[in-house]
Amino acid sequence: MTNAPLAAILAWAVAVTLPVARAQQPVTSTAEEAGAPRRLDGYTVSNSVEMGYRFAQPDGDLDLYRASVNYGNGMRLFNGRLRVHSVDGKGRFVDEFAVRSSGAVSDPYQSHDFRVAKNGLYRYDGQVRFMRYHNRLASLWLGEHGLRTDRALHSHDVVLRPESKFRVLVGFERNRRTGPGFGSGGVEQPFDGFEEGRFLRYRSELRQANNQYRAGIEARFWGLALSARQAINRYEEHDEASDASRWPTLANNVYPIETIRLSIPVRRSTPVTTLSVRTDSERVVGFVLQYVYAGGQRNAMLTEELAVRAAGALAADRRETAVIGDANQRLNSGQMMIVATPTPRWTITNTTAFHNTRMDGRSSIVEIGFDREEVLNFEHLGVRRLSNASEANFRPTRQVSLYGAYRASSRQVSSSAVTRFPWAEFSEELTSVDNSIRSGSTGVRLLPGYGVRASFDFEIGRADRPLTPLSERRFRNESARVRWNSGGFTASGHFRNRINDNPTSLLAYSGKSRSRGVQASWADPASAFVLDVGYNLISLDISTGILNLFAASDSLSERGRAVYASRIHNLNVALRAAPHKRVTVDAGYALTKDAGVGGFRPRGATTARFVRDGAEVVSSLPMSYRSPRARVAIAIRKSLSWNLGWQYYGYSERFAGDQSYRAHVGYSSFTFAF
Amino acid sequence: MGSAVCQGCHPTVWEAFTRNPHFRSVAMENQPPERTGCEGCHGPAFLHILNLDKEQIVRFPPLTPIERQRRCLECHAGDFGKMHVHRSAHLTSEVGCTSCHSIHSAHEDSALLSGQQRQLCYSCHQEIRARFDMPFKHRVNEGAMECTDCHNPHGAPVATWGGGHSARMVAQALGNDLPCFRCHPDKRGPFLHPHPPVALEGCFSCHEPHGSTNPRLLNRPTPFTLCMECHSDIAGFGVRAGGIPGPTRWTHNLSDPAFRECLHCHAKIHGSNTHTLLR
Repeated sequence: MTNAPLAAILAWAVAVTLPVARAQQPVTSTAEEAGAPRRLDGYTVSNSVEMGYRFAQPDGDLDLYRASVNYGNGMRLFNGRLRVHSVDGKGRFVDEFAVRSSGAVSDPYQSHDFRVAKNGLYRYDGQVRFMRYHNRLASLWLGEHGLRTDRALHSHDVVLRPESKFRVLVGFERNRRTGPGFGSGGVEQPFDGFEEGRFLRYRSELRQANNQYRAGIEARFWGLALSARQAINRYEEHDEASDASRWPTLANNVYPIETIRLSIPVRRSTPVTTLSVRTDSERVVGFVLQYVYAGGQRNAMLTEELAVRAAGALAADRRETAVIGDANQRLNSGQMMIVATPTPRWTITNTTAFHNTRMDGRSSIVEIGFDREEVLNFEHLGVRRLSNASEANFRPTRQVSLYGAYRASSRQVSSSAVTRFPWAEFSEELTSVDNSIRSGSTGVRLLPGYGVRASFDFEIGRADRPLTPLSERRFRNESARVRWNSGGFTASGHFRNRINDNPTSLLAYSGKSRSRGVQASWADPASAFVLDVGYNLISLDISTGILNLFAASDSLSERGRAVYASRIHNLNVALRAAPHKRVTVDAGYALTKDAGVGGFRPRGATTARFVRDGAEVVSSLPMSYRSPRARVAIAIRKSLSWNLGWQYYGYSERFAGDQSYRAHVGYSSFTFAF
Repeated sequence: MGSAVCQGCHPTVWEAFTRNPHFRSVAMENQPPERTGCEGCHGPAFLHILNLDKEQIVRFPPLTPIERQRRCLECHAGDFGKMHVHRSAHLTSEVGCTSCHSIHSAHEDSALLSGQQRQLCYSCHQEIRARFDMPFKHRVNEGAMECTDCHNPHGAPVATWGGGHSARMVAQALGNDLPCFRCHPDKRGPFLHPHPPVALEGCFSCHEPHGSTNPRLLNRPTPFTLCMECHSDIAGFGVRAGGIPGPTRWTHNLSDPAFRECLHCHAKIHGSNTHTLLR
């Protein structure tokens, strides 16, 4: 590579790593790029950078704002791209160098992609992502709002001889998370009465990291493509708590924790082997064979020292607990797909798959303090699944395509458990439960011309022994899409119904999920005018039985009913116009509004997320979330423009603990090329 | 004929083509003409050049989606990520390669996408776009994730979770797991005390993966109803078909608000290695 592209790369690197350039994702989309590709000593170089300052003015429940939006003040590198290509594809060391970055340095949501390649020799693809958010589940954990979680994901892959028939792949992936962890400690009193105060909630510092090392080969010969990949995952988790005084707001504990010292280190190792052989090109009959083996061993150890002072007690109760546990998993799965295209009108596939998982392990508990116990748990869970899917596409004419499929799946779940105390042993013998699902589906696709395309699908299925009352049992899916495109105008609509009934002898589950929407857009390339409008209605009706634990006593007759209904209206409007040759305007509006239980909102629904009416529990979450936005871009020079943007976030819900927030987020930035 | 001849009449197309991944096959000079450059996709150009007739070369606009796809698969059928393309919902819905990819005017260099990835997906999947407008969602619109982190638009193997009969376009993590475990490896286990739905039914039992009006992408606004809908003691369900154990009023009196938050005590809801009650 000659000096000029190298200088461009260095300038880019400096720009994205300047400490003052605290980048953030643009509020509105940034479609423009500054500068056109230009030649530089045998390379074509193009770049575009958008950098500026963002301000955020949130009001209301700031914790919820941080949980769902989380933009702040400061300098940002909103977006950036650099692309360098050798003109003749024969660069000395590099033929392609590309960087794509959004929200670099300090944005709560950042994404950076890299590619470096030399034709015939190597190709490197890298991806780095950062996410920063605050947890939010107010009804679950008081005080959780203010806790920040950070995620970082790195993925790096190198392919050697990428254009050859024999390629070598090497890769590394790291996934790291730090933030709050949650746990609970129960004071074991199996033959004593249950007291709420005997369960203690605590918050801990959690660090998780998963490193994946992978390597493989890909080869093509005799009309076949072969892949062999081996990966090893190393997972580590540290869950620690040592200072009870830091959580005064965790007042859900009836008896406050005086002191706590907790450590739960977890280690896991997961080797994964993937083998695949398939036909390398389109043939009358082709096939795909794939086999995956994944092992897994997870070791965990808990050591806990806890002191709790009961109300009125003179001294704290103290307990020391040690738990050692390990679990193992062996997963074997494979697929065989046959593809037949006897004529251009037909595509027929048959896929047979098996999947076998075996999990088992053991743990022992030693508890000193309130009681002394020694328990050995041994649990086993096995899943064996066989699936077959036969699918066919028939195209009688260029305008019509018919689709049909039949899928059958059989699942066997086996489990056993043993629990040993010093004085007794309780065991659940190995039991197997079978479940099968069969479904048939059909569809019609129409391409009648005039820019119209339409598709209609229908599926019906039956399962004989679903795992849960919510699982699919007697289900029906219907969907349709219609789209019309004429010149710059596009209109489309869709509907989708998913209906599942799961009747039982006592209670019936009924779930109906419906989605329907329309969208229209008009684009005029001559005036750079684009208008896009969409509306969706997503509704969900759930009715199922639950235990009525509000009742005064336990009995079958006091089972209750849970009802959840939501009507989510979504409106999305986007406009782009260029009123002047140097001025581009973007504007938009997004609204999400859940009407809750719609027309039959129960009394009291505005103050609580659920309402109990006798044995019926009706839950709903009427809320609205709206976000208008606007952006003006003014071209100062050919490769320099000034942008001004604003977006409003308004979240509103109507409950006793109001968590509504409003935020004005704006920015001023320059888009330029160097 | 070779691509050099095409440059004479199509200089701007050729100029952009040098930045195209397909140009590598030209630069490498290790492929026969019918497998590289212009003629690799558009077929033999001799008659087209001789007669200056655009009907005498393969042009993509008049082709049906499946005809376009077959031309692409002449070279890409063996790609690891495309090996299940024939059973992809896109193919069976007559959505061809050029619906999303643009060879000569791509927006994205690496995959030659004709636009920003999420916008391409939204153009058909409007209800998913609505999901990402919701207050609790995966950060796709914010640029931290892409649809292909969880989906394989070229088709995926038969699912190895749930009933194994649906989710045709959901990519699988290593080990044929749900793609969720790629970013959430702590949920993968194996656990000594697993919460069976995680391994058997998948994350969708409790979560709406794209976006939700409920915190934590949960399917219900009140977690205790979500739990209690399954833990109802009704015979026939559960891994032993003996009913999914439900609590008793004696131990879990819901009149006490503390018991309406199941995760207060069952904090390790996805699985625990230390306690059978998922603590």
